[in-house]
Amino acid sequence: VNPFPVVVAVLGWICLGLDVGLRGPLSHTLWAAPSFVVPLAAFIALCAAPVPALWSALLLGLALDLLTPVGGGSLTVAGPHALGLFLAGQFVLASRGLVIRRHPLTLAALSVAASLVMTIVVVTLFWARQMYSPIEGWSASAELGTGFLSALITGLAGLLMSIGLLPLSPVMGLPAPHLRRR
Amino acid sequence: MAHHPHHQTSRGALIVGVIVLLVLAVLPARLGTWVNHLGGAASMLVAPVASPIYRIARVVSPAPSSPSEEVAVLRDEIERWKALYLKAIVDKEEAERKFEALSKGAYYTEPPQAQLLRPVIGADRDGLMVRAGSRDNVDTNCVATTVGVQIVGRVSRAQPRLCWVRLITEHGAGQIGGLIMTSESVRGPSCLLSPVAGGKLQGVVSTGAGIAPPAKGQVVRLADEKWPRSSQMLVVGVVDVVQTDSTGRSIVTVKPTLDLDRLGEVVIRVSPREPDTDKASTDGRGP
Repeated sequence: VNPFPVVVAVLGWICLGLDVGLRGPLSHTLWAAPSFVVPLAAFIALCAAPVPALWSALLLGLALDLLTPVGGGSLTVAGPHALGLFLAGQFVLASRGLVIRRHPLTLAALSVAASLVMTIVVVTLFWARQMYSPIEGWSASAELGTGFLSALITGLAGLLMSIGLLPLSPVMGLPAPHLRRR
Repeated sequence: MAHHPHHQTSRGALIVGVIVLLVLAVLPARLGTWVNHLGGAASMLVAPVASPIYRIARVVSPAPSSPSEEVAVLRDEIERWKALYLKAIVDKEEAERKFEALSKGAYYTEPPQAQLLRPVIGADRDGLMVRAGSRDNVDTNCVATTVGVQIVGRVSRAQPRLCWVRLITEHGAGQIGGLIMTSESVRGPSCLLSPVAGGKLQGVVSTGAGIAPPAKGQVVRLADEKWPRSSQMLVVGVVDVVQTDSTGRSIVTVKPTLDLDRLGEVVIRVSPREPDTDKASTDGRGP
């Protein structure tokens, strides 16, 4: 039995819980909250085969969409975070040949970049939606500002998560990075 | 390099998945309402992790822009209101008679159908996520308060097991009518308050002949026909700042007695739906 989907599901569940639980308190304290899902998706994209990594990013992003209502909590849009995280995963896949995969700073740096990619995609999609289905109180500049700040904090989350994730990579069923040569 | 057929199928499914999500992402809001139900289910799914994390973070994280002096003042306020609340319980009958006598006229209070003390399991910029939903008869007509009498906000959306409470201090919550109490039992001028920065409300006071002007520290109670009757006369906050504009009108800044962003539990007051409030509440916004 391939443990990869189970491990990703469990870690995704924990990271989504952390995202939702910390979003409120930290947003009020730091103006933005870190994402734990983005470093997880980046880590998977860093280690796993391309297709499973992209599926993981897509599904984790979809879960983020469902847990991030907009417009005063009255509207849930499926897709923006999913597509954002998918492109972020694609970015990490393209970059992983150029980085030292087992270094904690790699995950931190790629988490920041992945978070920025996701933010840009999400804001672009919502900005496009504003033209025909406006959401009251939504501002592209404010979302970009918060997203960029969140990306920086996500880098710290990625650094902390790398301590736990990197040693776990063989247990998770992901191929050890040193065995994967492209 | 030749690709395995299984990989090609998986890659094809991935492309289809991306296209489906792209369509969903650009779907107009009126066609995507069913996604809201999935959102509620997802929130319930992550609640076992999110809820304890939220509680810990709420305790550990320092209050935003709250110097220790302000925290001390707020704690004093809490104690003062607790004392008033306990005093009101002890002198219940006398206070009820007194309150009824004072309430004759424009406003009267009736008890809500039910009061549900429920934990806050999360929060975002849109408000508090509370573990009470349409299964408990919670709908957009319901008002959330603290365990005492401080109004927290109004339910903006209800799922079967969850609801979202939009705080009265949030931008977009709309205006709220208040009555400034010149003393514990004497009504003063009315005011129409709007949310401003810093979790406060601000509005112009309607003063008239024989009505004392507002003063700092006075209690502001809800007096707004667009809110359920059972919520009238609950506490909106206390007058924090009184200013006078160029035309001589008083402008008050009202601060809730508690930091509404940081509540661990709230009381959802389930009220019978009133015809005149339906319109105001169905759009998920305050009055």
